Amino acid sequence: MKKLILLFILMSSSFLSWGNETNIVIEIKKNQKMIQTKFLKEEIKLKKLIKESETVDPEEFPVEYKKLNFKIFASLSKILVKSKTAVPETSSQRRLFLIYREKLSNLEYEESKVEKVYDLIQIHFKNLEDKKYIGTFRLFIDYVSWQYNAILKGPLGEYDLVVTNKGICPGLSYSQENKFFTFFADACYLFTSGGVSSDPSQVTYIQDNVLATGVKTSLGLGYFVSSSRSEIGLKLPIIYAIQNLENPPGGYEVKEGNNLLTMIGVYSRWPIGPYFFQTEFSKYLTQDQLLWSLGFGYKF
Amino acid sequence: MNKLFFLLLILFPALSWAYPNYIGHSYTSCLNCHYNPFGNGPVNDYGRAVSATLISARWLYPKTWTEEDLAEKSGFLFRKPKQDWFRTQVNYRRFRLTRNPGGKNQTELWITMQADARAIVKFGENDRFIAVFNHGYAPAPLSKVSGVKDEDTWRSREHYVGYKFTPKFGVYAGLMDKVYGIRVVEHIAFSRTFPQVAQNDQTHGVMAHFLTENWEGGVHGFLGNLSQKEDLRMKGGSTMIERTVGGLHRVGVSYLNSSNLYNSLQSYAVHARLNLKEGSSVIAEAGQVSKTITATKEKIDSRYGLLQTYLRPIRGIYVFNNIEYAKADLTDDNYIVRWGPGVQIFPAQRIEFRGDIYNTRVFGPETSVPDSWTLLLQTHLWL
Repeated sequence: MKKLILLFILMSSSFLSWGNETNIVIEIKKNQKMIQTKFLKEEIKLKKLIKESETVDPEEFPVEYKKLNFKIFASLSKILVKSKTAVPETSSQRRLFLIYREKLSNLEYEESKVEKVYDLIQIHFKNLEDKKYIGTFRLFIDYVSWQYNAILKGPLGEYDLVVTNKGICPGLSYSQENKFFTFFADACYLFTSGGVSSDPSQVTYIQDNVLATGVKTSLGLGYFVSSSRSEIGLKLPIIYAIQNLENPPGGYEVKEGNNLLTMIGVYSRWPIGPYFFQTEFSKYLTQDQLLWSLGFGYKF
Repeated sequence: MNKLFFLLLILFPALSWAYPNYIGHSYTSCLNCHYNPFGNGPVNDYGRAVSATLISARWLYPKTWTEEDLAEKSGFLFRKPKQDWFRTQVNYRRFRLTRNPGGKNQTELWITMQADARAIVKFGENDRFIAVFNHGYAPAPLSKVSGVKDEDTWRSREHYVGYKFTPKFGVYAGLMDKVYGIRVVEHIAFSRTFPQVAQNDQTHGVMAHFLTENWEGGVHGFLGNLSQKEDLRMKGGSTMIERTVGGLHRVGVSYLNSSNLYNSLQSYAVHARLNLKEGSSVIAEAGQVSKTITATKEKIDSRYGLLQTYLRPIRGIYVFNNIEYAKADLTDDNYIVRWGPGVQIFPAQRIEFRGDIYNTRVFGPETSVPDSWTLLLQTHLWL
């Protein structure tokens, strides 16, 4: 942006003073009118030669005419550079800008300045385009493994247990993303099973293949690290799951603990065309255990 | 049993310093940067320049230095070599291993993993003839096996000669790593320890290498490490072949067969390296190993899987996941998944800092135990 302003200042001998857009439009119209009144013949001739792809001899056109075209080009660039939203290439302003660029190129007038301004305008709109957030949906299925703490209460005391589950988690995510960043929310249906085994030196308690179902949902933010849009980021997942472990006989009772588990994790994602591959590594905030997952999906 | 197995893997660390993830920078063949066409060991002049201008950050260099300046200064002792026939390199690597970090059973250990001096003699166009010598330090195993004599901790890590008959075909002979699978840097990767192709598994032998536009491969016949007692030497052969897919990626297969007086080992694997551009890559290997104890004819089949994912947020930093699967005995229902996120930082050429977290989870029908955690912090310096 600084470069652009500097360039404009350097070109100020040819440029009109900075003003608001209305003033610039007035200047453009004034210069266009001047061309129509003073250089109508040259204008028609130049347009005809360009249209028919004929060679233009710049010597046949007066310097004053060239200057007027350059002033209009410069005014248009001022309007475009002030734009805070990406103006489409098909818009009348950008088409007009390109027309004057072509005219000046054929007239061989201030070509290097024209090309520099053109490049900077292109960069300006590319930057705007890159910063623009768009909504994106993704469908995915993860292979997931997660653990959580439970307690076996018995007549002689309490014993710590760790429940290990594995299964799948199909789901959907919605993100707002631009070229650099993504902010997203996702949710998936946790369809897992697993088991628990106590320390046999204390008490023998084994459960296996017990269904654990629930919902896993996350909020996250990520950063695109390459042109292939590989990404890495942080997420805050929450699991709400139910798993009914059987109480062993003899006055023992299993307490599965909190059904709601909060986590913080890192994720990464690699797109291959519309498909993608993703990983997650999340640690519970209140327990030592963690969840990891590996999955693939489709981006709409 | 699995915990014991994992503990043994930790106690007998093995290293192999290759970076196959640089396929993410479009380097499909290791030969671009290494004297050994299958990677690992000394890096050639081009590899040093790549490490200075592509892999490492510029944070410690004056802003006035151009990339060309960095490439010029990438040689040994920051100098451009004055002759073409001789190169030297020095490597030092040390890490801190923390088991159960933050837990009540936390233990810490400092280990010097590498201290190598390397010399390379080379002649001819494109280093047609090379002789590589690598003498260095190998840490002694922390757990000693009774009755087995300790190996020297300072010893030849590798020494071999190579001759390229054509730019596409070369033959190498001497003490080298076995040709098998993807030579990942992780020192406890199941994909290196199960087929016995880790840091201390170099072997004397003859290896042929070929490289075409889409294919690269090699065959390795070996006699074991001649510094070992004859009855311990694993003799046999191995092969690895890769095909370039889409001009960017590599897929391949490997096979290894070796035996000594006490056991025989057969291993095969499929592997892939995917270039996801600008330093991002995915590396995968899946293999099966059959080990037969000669005396009892007992056969143990093992299976392993490796998935590594690399991302490069900015030049000089790689963020990765190291995901591994191991089933030490296919007749047993238990298996291990080891999941390790990490970060690798190259603040300047010749300096690498690396942090790895390893979470190991055991799966089994009657096993549900808390995960074990390991933290590795590593410094690698080279000249």
